[in-house]
Amino acid sequence: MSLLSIRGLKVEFAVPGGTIKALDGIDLDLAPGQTLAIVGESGSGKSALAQSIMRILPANGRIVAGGISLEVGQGRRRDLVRLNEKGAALRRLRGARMAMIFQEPMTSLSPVHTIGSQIAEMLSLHGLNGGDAAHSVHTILSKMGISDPERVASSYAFELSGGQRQRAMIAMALICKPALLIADEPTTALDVTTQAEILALLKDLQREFNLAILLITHDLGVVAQIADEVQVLYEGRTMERGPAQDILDDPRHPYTKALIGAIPVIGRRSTRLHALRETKGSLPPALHSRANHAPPRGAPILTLENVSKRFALRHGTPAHESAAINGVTLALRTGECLGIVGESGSGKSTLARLMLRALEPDQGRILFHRDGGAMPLSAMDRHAIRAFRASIQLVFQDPYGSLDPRMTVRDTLTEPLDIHGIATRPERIERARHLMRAVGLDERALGRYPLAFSGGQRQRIGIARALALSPEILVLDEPVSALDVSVQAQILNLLRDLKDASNLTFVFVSHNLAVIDYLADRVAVMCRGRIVELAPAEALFKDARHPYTKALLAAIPSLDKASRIDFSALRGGNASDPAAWEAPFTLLGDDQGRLVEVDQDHFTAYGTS
Amino acid sequence: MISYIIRRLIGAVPTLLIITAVAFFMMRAAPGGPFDGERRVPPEIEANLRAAYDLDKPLWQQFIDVRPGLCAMRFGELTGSRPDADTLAAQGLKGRELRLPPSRPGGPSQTSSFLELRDEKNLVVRCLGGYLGKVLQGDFGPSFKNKDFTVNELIAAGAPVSLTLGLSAITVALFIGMSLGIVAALNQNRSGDYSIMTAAMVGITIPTFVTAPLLTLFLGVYAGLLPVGGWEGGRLENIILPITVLALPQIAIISRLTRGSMIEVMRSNYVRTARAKGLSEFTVVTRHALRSALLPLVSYLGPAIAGLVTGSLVVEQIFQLPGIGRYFINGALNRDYTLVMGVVILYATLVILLNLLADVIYRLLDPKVRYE
Repeated sequence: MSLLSIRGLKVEFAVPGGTIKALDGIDLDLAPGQTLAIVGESGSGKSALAQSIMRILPANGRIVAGGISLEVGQGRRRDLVRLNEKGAALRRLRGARMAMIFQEPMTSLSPVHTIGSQIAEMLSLHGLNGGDAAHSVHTILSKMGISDPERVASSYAFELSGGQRQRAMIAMALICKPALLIADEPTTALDVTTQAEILALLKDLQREFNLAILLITHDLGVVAQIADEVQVLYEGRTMERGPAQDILDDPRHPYTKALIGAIPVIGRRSTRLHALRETKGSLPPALHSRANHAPPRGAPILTLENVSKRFALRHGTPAHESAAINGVTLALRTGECLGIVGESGSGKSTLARLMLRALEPDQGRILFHRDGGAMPLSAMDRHAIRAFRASIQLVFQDPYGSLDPRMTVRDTLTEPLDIHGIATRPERIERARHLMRAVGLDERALGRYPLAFSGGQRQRIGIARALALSPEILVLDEPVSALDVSVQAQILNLLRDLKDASNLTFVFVSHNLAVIDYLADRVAVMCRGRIVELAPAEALFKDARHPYTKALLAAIPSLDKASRIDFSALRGGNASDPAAWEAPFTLLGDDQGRLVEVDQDHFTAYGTS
Repeated sequence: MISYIIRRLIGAVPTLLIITAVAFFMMRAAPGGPFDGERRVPPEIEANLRAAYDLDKPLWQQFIDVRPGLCAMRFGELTGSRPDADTLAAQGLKGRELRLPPSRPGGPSQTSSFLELRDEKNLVVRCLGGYLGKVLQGDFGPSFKNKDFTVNELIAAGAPVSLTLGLSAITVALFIGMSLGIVAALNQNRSGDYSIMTAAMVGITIPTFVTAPLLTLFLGVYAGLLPVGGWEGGRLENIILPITVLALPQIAIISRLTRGSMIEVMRSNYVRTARAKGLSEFTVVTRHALRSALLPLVSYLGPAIAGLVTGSLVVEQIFQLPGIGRYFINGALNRDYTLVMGVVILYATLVILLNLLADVIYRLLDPKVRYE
């Protein structure tokens, strides 16, 4: 007998000018102790489904048809759709019989209450505060793998790391021992090693509490690791459902096939990603009309020599890692795509900003090579900086925040040319048309504002803007991490075409190893402001030498259920602690380490003490 | 927290000094003087008047005077003899004991116009004279226009009236404005919301010099329910109308602010979490939403209270209330230098203290700010 059984569920959202069908006849069954993964792109209705079950749809959402039957104990069932959204009967079930955890633990926890008081509130709310509430809170927190529950309980959400926050969130959801846990993208906002730990925790808890988990995700790797069954949603309808491994191995529905084909997988870089809605750009042959001053292919174009950057810690802040760069030496080669990978706080974005001269290094120097000479960025005069800025361009992570909403696309694309005084006005507009075609957008849309474009299209505009000056180096800071899988595939394919068609040098910053593998020729793995491993992509993914790289690779949930995440490689949460790496990798204190060539062009950092 | 408050208070000292100096010199830069408006007096009498109020000295000396031996000179002027500093010290006289004769019979004796700097033997070695010297001793000097009254006396009489009005009005406005704002937010884009926000818009746009006579007309004259003016020791009947008039625009602003931040917070992820926990809507609003929603309000309240306490000029004038606002206007128009200076310094101090209070409350409400 199933715990949760949904039949014919239809949900609509009222929007200006009509309604949107978020769910259009969903059937679903979930048995105790089972994990059902709901998979789909954004807009597929998967979050609406989760919120419908909890009956916490936003004010403009409405269940128009169908039933949600939940077993509420001793075999009795209630139809949640028939209960009053604000009534006591439903409130008794929320939190006690069914609980939910959310994608962003930072914003989903109250900013003004301590973690402990938020968890204890569940106990008093559902009449379970018979014993010592503080003790119960500490017990459940330590069960979540938190080593110092007292401190965490008395902390506020912003004082904790992402992993701790999500653990606290799970503790809050599980303290009343619900039968159903709805997890809405529970690991999407987390680093890959933290994600692996949270997934392991959920598995353990499920076994212990005989918990039914409804997992909402777009990450098929996560599905493979913990789901028993999968249901694929597209535009509010079920496309395919069945045992997880069957669907991943042998998808029947074309949409499922397409979705799986859109996801970059490590070791499959030769297979072109299958974007669900492919839009092909036609790269104009004359993208590089500017005289090229870049060094010959393969020769260094930008070199970093022992570069360090420190940020002052805020006064009185509890031990926060400063995202500093600690003695990085690196040569960017003309025409290559260098992937920089690391977890949040590893310093990868700081490194990118140093390369752009958006930040000045505290120590060391950065040299820019052109016309056979090399010039330190710090020694450039205004004229040289101008030329340098035209040679190195940036694509931002957030396609929504990085385009001026009050400028038309034409203005956005011609402004860089205008600033650098390149070409006449008609030529600039002609160039803008070329750029639009190059990134696969309709040139007739030049007069529109960013508002008229989707996230993926905006990111194309961002790339077009960066290309406007025909730079020699393109720095991409997490260019696809804010995008949906299929849009991500489009952008990755576009970048790959660009790379193949031009002599551009790419610096590609990402936390996603699979994305890096799809594009990068060489990969630099960063941890705590240091490059710990630097190798050609293939060598790195096949033959990683550094313990941190190994941990990162082990933490990636693979599509193949048989290859479970190797938790021993995660080193119990110590993977990113340089002092805990075994010799010769151990880095104590501020030790910058030194890169040693362990194989051809393959470097790892050894401790120097 | 305590060290934060102390740091802020220390930081306020230079601010106040600068405000005092700027106000002093701007006041003097304005054309005209305190005795211009009176009927013509013979030049020698005007010269005497100016000398009596120190107006004959160079401007900077009127503001601050640190000439050595000043105490002795001044002491000599008062007593008729002219002892030097050593003699003064030998007599064991301290600056504070240099009392000027009362300005009117039975009035308080005025303190000396010096702040003494003493050496290690507690002897006066240098005096700080001029306006600043007096103010540092808490003496705002005699009023130029309200003869026989010191500015301190005028402020002491007027400040309680203005404070009572301002604080009562903001309390009323907070209570009503917050409630209306929350109701509007919870009924967003429904009739309750629209009617409250329309009323609020009207409340913001109609100035107090319109609402005050209208309310007086209807409630005071036609209905005869309330007195139309006067203070009468702050009787409840007398202050209802002025407080209402003062509170109305504040209610409007506070309700709009509360509504805005409340709507934003009610859409936030942690309110969704609170609902998912099974909390009742009442608890969701009061315990989880309100505290964060109040933060923008707190930042508004500091300046708002200061504005209300000090900005009730119009209301005080219309209802004939003896608050300080009246003195401020009259003083400015008549070039009553000391009175205006006294009120300016009082206002500045109030604004600084109330902003500090708002920041302290903000820190108590938002744990994140405590670390910054």
